[in-house]
Amino acid sequence: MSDIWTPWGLIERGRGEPAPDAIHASAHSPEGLPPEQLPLTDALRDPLTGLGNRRAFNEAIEHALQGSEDGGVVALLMIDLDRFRMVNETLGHLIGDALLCLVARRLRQSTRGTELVCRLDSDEFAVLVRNGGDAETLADRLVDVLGRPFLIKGQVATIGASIGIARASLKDGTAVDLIRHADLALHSAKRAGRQRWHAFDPSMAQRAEARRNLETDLRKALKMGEFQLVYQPQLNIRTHTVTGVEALLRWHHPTLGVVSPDTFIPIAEDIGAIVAIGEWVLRTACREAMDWPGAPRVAVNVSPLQFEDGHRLFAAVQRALSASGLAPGRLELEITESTLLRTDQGVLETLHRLRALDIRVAMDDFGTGYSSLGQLMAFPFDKIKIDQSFIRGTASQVGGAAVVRAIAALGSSLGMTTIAEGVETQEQALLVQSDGCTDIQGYLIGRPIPGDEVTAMLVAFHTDIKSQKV
Amino acid sequence: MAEPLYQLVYCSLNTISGASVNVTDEIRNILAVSRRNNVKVGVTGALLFTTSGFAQVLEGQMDAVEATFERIQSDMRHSDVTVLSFLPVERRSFPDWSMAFAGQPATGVAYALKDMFPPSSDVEALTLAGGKVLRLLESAVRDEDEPMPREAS
Repeated sequence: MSDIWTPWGLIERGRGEPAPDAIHASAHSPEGLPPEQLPLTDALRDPLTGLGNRRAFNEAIEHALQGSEDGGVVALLMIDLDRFRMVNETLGHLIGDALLCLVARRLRQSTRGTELVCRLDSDEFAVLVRNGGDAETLADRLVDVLGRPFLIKGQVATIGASIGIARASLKDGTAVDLIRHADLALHSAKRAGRQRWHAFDPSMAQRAEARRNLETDLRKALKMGEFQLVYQPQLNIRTHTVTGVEALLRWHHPTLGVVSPDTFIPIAEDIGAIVAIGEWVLRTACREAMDWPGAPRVAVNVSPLQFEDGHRLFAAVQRALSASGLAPGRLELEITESTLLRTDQGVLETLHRLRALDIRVAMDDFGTGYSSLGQLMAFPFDKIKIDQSFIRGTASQVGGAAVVRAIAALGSSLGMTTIAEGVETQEQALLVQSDGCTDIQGYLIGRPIPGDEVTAMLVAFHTDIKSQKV
Repeated sequence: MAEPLYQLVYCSLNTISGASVNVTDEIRNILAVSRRNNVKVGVTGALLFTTSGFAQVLEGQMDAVEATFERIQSDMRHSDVTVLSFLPVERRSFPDWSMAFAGQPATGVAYALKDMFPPSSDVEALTLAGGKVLRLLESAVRDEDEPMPREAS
């Protein structure tokens, strides 16, 4: 493989077509230059595009890093097509394959001569640049040309590319690190919104390691008893009674302390741990709510992923109720808008089955995501929780108040309770009341407290009301 | 039976910088190359140029139009290439032009091409804009360009 760069280099300089394109083969041949055969054996060539395949890629990286004749740097561009799957699904695999051939052609034409272009997987490509100096310029160009429209068999396809760049020096780099770093940079580019390139920097590896550690710890957290529920009261504005208590999950990490749910819930969803954690929350909340005086409802958040197996969720709810003896009418499940975005019929079916048990269902964080009236009509929710971003704005922004008023009016006409989240001041409470909300939740009413303090809190509220009435 | 005719309308932003003499040279160059290539593959069309950008109509057999576009799109003298419409058509709009041209500053055709850019990626809006560009080019070409007979192919 000692001359691996050279023959491909000749090809990359545009001397001809390495493999017959699925389409346009003749029309695209550079003028006056007959098609040339790539000196790649079949074992090293991607049959569809004629680019190097994964094996060619691996061998080339090893070769480049072992080469000692050159003190330079190898740069690797990992390229992932954006929206390719959508093209494949909407326009069909034939168009998808033709698109990959055009992508391969644009990659070849955008490279100069010392680069090796490979197709690693369905819509994953890689460019290995022997002297990594202008990898960023090349990445700019690739993001540009792959974002331009493609015309294929009478169709227009617009995709895009995300690229991760990493470098390794010939002296101390390893192929494994180079690929890992480029993948991390690619991941970062995709997370930043795609259609761009990111270059690897060490903080990416640190973040990835921190995330990996958190994943490992999260898998053990249930068994280690590191989760705890805290409870926040929900107050009916008119009657001044605590109508419900929301269960909120806390993770007490052995070394990091309390980890925010905003941090660990997405990870738990990614690694599939959310289902077991969600079941623990249901069990614990139902059990702890049994002792509460005045029998307020307990509200439990349910992840969209728990609805993927509706039967399991339904069974878990049933078990939590029967094990604790909690009356089903005291359990309220809070679901987010994204749950209903899962268009399959299964979600609604599960919700209706739960409702048939007499369990209440609340729409959480309404107004933040893809809120639509259609979603409110899709299921007869018992309660709409208006996101706190609108409440915080009510004191100063007319717009926030208008949204709150509109949702409250809608809730009222649909027979749903409307609760304002994140109420922190008396002024906000008065405003949301005048806007038509029936209930409020937030620091003004009470901060989240541990389960063993809920009884005292409820008694205190109860006493307050009595003393007010006197 | 003849293969169906396709017509492509796209627009893009001009990235040629420098003095106007440079721009004129580049445009002349673009036209010469495209006329030479188009004749070979039976593609006809028209190009509209303003200081802000290009709009172009390409028509011919599907494969030929696609291959021609594939060559043009990669040109770094323009950016933000947006396909307005790509549809089968009954007949050519510019049958006698290997590449008609409108936009010599001297003739006063100063269309604000930017205004013709559709506001969204909505297919209907794009097609509508494509129709507008096509009509604009048809009238501009009638006013400006001398027909350049296609070589027999």
